[in-house]
Amino acid sequence: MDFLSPSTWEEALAAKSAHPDAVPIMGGTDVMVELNFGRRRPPALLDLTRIPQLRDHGPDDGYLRLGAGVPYTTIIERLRDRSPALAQAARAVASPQIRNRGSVGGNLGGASPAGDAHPPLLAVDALVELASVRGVRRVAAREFYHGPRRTARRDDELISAVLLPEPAGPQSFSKIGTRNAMVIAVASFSLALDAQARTVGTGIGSAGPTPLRAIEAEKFLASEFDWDGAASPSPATVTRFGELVASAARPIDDVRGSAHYRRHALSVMARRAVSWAVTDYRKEIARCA
Amino acid sequence: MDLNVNGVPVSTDSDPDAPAVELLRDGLGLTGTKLACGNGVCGACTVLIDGAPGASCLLPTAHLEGRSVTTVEGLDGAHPVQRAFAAHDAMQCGYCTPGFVVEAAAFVDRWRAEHGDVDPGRAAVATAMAGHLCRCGAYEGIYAAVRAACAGEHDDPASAPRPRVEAFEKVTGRARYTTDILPAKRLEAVIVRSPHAHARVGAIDAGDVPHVDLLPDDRTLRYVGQPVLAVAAATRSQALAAAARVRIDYSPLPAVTRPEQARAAGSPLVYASRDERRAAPRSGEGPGLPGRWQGNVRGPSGFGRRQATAVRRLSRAAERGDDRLVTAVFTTSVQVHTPLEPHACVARWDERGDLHLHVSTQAVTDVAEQAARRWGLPPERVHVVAEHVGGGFGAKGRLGVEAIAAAELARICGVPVRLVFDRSEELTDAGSRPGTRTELALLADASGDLAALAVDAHGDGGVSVDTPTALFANLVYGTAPRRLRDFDVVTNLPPGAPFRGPGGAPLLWALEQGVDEMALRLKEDPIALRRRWDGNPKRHALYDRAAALPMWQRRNRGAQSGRIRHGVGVAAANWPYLLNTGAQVELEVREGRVVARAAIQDIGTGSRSVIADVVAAELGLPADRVRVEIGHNNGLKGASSTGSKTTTSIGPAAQDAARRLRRLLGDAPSVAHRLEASEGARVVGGRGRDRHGYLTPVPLGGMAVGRGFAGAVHVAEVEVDTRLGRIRVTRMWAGIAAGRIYSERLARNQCEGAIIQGIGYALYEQRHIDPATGVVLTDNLEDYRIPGIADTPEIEVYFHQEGWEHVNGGGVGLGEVAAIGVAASIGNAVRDATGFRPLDLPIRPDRLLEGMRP
Ligand SMILES: Cc1cc2nc3c(=O)[nH]c(=O)nc-3n(C[C@H](O)[C@H](O)[C@H](O)COP(=O)(O)OP(=O)(O)OC[C@H]3O[C@@H](n4cnc5c(N)ncnc54)[C@H](O)[C@@H]3O)c2cc1C
Ligand code: FES
Ligand code: FES
Repeated sequence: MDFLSPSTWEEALAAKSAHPDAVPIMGGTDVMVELNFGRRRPPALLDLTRIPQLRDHGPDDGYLRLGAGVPYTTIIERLRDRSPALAQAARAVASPQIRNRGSVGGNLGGASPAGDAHPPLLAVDALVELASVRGVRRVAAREFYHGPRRTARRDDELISAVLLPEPAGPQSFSKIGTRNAMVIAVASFSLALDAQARTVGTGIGSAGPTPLRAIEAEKFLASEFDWDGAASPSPATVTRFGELVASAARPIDDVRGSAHYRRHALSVMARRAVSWAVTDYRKEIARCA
Repeated sequence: MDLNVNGVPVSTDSDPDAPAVELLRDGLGLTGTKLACGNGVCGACTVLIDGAPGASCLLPTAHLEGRSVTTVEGLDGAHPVQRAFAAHDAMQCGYCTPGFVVEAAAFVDRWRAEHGDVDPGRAAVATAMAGHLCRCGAYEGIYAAVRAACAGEHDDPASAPRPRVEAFEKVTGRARYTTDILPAKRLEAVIVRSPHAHARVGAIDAGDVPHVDLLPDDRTLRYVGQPVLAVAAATRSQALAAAARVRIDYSPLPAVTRPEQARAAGSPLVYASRDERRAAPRSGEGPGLPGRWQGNVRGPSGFGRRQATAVRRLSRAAERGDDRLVTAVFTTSVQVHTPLEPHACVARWDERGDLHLHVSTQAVTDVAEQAARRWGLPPERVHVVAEHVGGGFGAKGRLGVEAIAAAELARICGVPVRLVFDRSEELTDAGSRPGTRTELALLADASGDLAALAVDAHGDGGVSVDTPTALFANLVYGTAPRRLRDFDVVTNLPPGAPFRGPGGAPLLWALEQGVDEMALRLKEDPIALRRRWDGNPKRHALYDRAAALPMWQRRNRGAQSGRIRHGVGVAAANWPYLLNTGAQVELEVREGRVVARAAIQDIGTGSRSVIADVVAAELGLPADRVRVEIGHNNGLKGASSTGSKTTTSIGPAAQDAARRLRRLLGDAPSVAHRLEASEGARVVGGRGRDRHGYLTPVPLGGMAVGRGFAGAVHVAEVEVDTRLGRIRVTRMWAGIAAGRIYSERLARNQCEGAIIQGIGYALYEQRHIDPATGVVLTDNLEDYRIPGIADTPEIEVYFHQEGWEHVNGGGVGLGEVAAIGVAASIGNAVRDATGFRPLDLPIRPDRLLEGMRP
């Protein structure tokens, strides 16, 4: 197996173009598991850890630009205010050892439906930046996930960054695991409200072949939400929202949980997310007043 | 490539994509870093990379270029948290300890820099240690150690007392386990395993790679993962590649993968002939119970008292719809031992033809005897070594395939051969507690006394037989009539093995919930009911304590509403007292110190400390004047670490040896003064008989069943999130009646660990099988979920030490009795909180929600 370790981004793109079957490796927390158990023996690994700009983060034209290799620990410690839902998701990832190395780029590269970064990226309508020797393009996260572990990324492309819109309202992420820590999600849910556009975004994890949105639920809550006064929505509204989220899921039974439980857990998380959003929204109004 | 390891510059040409743990262990000999899961889940391989903790099994070596790596060896035993781990006994087998220590060192330093020397509390420690698993369940000690180190309590290098004599080796990574034996010139072996649930094997073509056949005599494979052959090569990856090239002709046969399917008429047979049945592996550790076969079902092996009366009373009660008849069907899932150190062996034949086995075992002498028999050697020519053993829980009790294959390959190849299971093998075919389906019927009479009891238990031990469960209902609740029947249902799944209180855990899951249900029917306090039914005076003392506990006194009465509900539950346990009657301890004076030897091993229970403490106390010596050497079959009669019998067997032998030495040396003015002049003095002490002898007239294989039963009472407090169906055990009290406690802290550690494993059994652990293929799906530690530190409740352990005066040494084993009732106490607490009686283990959220649905 070849081990390619470019030290510049240009070299990395050239290497990926020359070896489209080379497997990129950033934190390695997914790739190494597969290598260790001989599940995969790719012809080459393309090491991206020596490329400094993959670890950069900063403002970019109304967005927060987050290099694909920024580890979860950095997101938690430094970017909490600018990406609240994603930072909550980062905190829910595994353990300190994994968070020190795992990255959002790696989460997107593997595109496991259980990845914790996906629901927030969907909910906030983030962009995924893909680059190749042919050029750079940005794909909405909402268009990124195509099928089980299949994405909009082409074989010669690398993920360079994600772009997160400036938060414009309450955001949250929650996750149900099977133990009290250190677990891949049984189901996860993210909610983001955009007070300016008066829209609602959702993301569902671990409950379908890909990360999913609950579009009906988004529309429903956007129309029911009291955008001016943040009056508590009626219990019926909250319940309906939970049902719509649950019905958007397409879960299966597996060793982590049953399909039925996953839907149920999603409806519980969705209802809870609404009440958190209302509280946060009120606080925001109070602060601005 | 250059890097810096523990302050020393290192150059390496290792494969850039190989995990760093290989470079550290095999390349640099830094074996404190363990490889336990290879999956990033357990944290045993944690090192610091430029100060930040990382899992070295997931770290490509290339990522270390120019980095500074600190392994546990690099902490040098000087970090306060290492002293704290030793002082708080934050370990048992110690296999997870280096990983915890490295992570904790980084956390403690950072915490103190940010917050000063203050206690971070449990939650912060749990978050920091989330990436580590300890199968022994030493989490209470770990909490205490990390919190104390943060608070600056262990800055003084003057060592605080260490309850465990080998603690320092364990916290520094110096303790050597079988997996750490890496002879320079060696071959690595791997096992080729069956991909079929049932198949006959034809020709095997392994080419010219050294290999040994591991097939059973009838060349029939009966489960996925069954060993077919083992191959050896210079490195593990070459061995894996060679294994992949082996060509095996399989003729698949129809298979059964579910017990219900196996019981159905006309289903394929796992064992077609009498000879095949006779060769079936056994999962029990006793002498094996008789049983007739009917298809895939074996049994019943029936026990009881006045069985006909029991059956008559129960059927009449059923006919009249008696409210005092409690019946239910309980099930338990297969629970996998999965000790953190996998099964491993390094085998070598020397010039004289002696066999040397480093093996991760709970029974050095048994393994040596079995090896001697297998290879036709006199016993003294087999040398078994198990310096430190990274857990066993019953799965490492005999000469296993890892040792057989390694020894055979070593003979063929003429060099040492090392064979270490990976985690997938460990979770597939290295031991598990059989699942069970238990039908329980319990009848009280008009005065509320136990009138009859019936238990029919079907064990689900895959291809193995002998899964007694109902049998243990003979040991409890007086002499009321009872019929107890055990059946085995064989399937094409991996065999079971004895697991900490085999049979006891599933029986109590059913019985102790049945008793709880009866208390509800009789409207009686569950502790009071047990106290009435249970004639055991030692347990009476525990019931009285339990009844006085604040959590019991304050428990909720009546139905609760609301999302979060609380409940408290109790369960009692009874367990036979076993011992090795012949166990010996030898003492020898060497260089002014007493060297104690015994043919035992330490799987984490602290056997070294038991011997050291007893000898030092008897001779009035400071701890550092006694050195304990165990983990070898050295010609002495030993004791296996199974059946909770090591301490009770070896403690009195140590005492006896120490008395003999004192007599030999004389103690004026003190033994210590006479040591210098007594170089070479040697005595052997024996276990000595208990007063009134044993229940077994003659010891079987050196083992006897002693008089009296060890007892336990567990009280669990749970918090249930009724919306998500999640259960958290928030508090646990354990009362243990096992007589004299040789070392309070070590005994408490055992009981705490037993509770953690019981919580795993109750809430999380479930082996999943693909029914279509018989493949074990939960073959990694992410999917097979053992409890982590955050799942640990606050634990209080109480020891009732009276009542064992007839026992030589005054104390009996407690490792099993402390484990078997835990799940039932949690089940009863869940019932108390929710009104739902959980019948099936584990009590998964989906099951709880389903059960609570109106
Ligand atoms: C014990 C354990 C627990 C875990 N728990 C969680 C959890 O709770 N939540 C969760 O979401 N995940 C979890 N994971 C999975 C993993 O940590 C995450 O998916 C992480 O985000 C992967 O990041 P990485 O940088 O380590 O990726 P890598 O392993 O380096 O790569 C992952 C994939 O992405 C590709 N890739 C990486 N970078 C790029 C790039 N720039 N362009 C294109 N492709 C790229 C790789 O080729 C690979 O297919 C866990 C993993 C382990 C081992
Ligand atoms: S061995 Fe690396 S985390 Fe388990
Ligand atoms: S002490 Fe932790 S695994 Fe044994």
